[in-house]
Amino acid sequence: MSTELKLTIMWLFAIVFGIAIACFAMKKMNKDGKTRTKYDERQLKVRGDAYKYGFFGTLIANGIMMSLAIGGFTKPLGMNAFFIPVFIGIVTQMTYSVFKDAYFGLNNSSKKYLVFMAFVGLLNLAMAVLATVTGELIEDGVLGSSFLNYLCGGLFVVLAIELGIKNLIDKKA
Amino acid sequence: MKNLKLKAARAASDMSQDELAKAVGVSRQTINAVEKGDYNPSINLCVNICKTLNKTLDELFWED
Repeated sequence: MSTELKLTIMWLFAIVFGIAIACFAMKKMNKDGKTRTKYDERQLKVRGDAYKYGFFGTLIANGIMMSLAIGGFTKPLGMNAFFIPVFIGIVTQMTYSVFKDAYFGLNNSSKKYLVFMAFVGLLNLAMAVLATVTGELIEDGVLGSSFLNYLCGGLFVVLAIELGIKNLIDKKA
Repeated sequence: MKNLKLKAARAASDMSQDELAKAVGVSRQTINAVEKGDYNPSINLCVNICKTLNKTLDELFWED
């Protein structure tokens, strides 16, 4: 088996394992012990809009990335260039949901979620910093896959900031 | 348009937005949005709210 095939299988396994962990975590974090989050009708509508904006955000970001790639400007990003538009879409969807009170569902324990997200965010940032310190972040002038840990950790930092701002807005209202 | 009739009926029943939300199975923010006029509830939600507050649809959701 070639090294590339082994890497592909490892990545696929990691994705499946990640999904399994996420399902288990959601079961533990939801008040009713179910994996699926329940939303009311207004939240479902808002989330539908949020996913739409996230989709178009990803498309636009992808278009920009492609334009930059044609000019060779994305070479230093390496494979991470594929993920940046996805993260932009996720942040768009997340931001809209947070500020329209549709991020947490009816059966979510927001405190447990926040603890879990803080843990995942900090873990990712720690791994990213470790990769930076050991020199694994940049390989032959190209950002390695460890950069994804910065993106993931950054995502949770952005989420924490948004939830904090929303909390302040709600207190003033 | 604000739904002051809903707000008044909720206050008359001595219920907070959170209590009404839990009773009808929605989030507090949804009840707030309905009262502020930022969200038009479905007929099912309107009926559930009316049943909880013991009011008719006309009393809570018909325009004067």
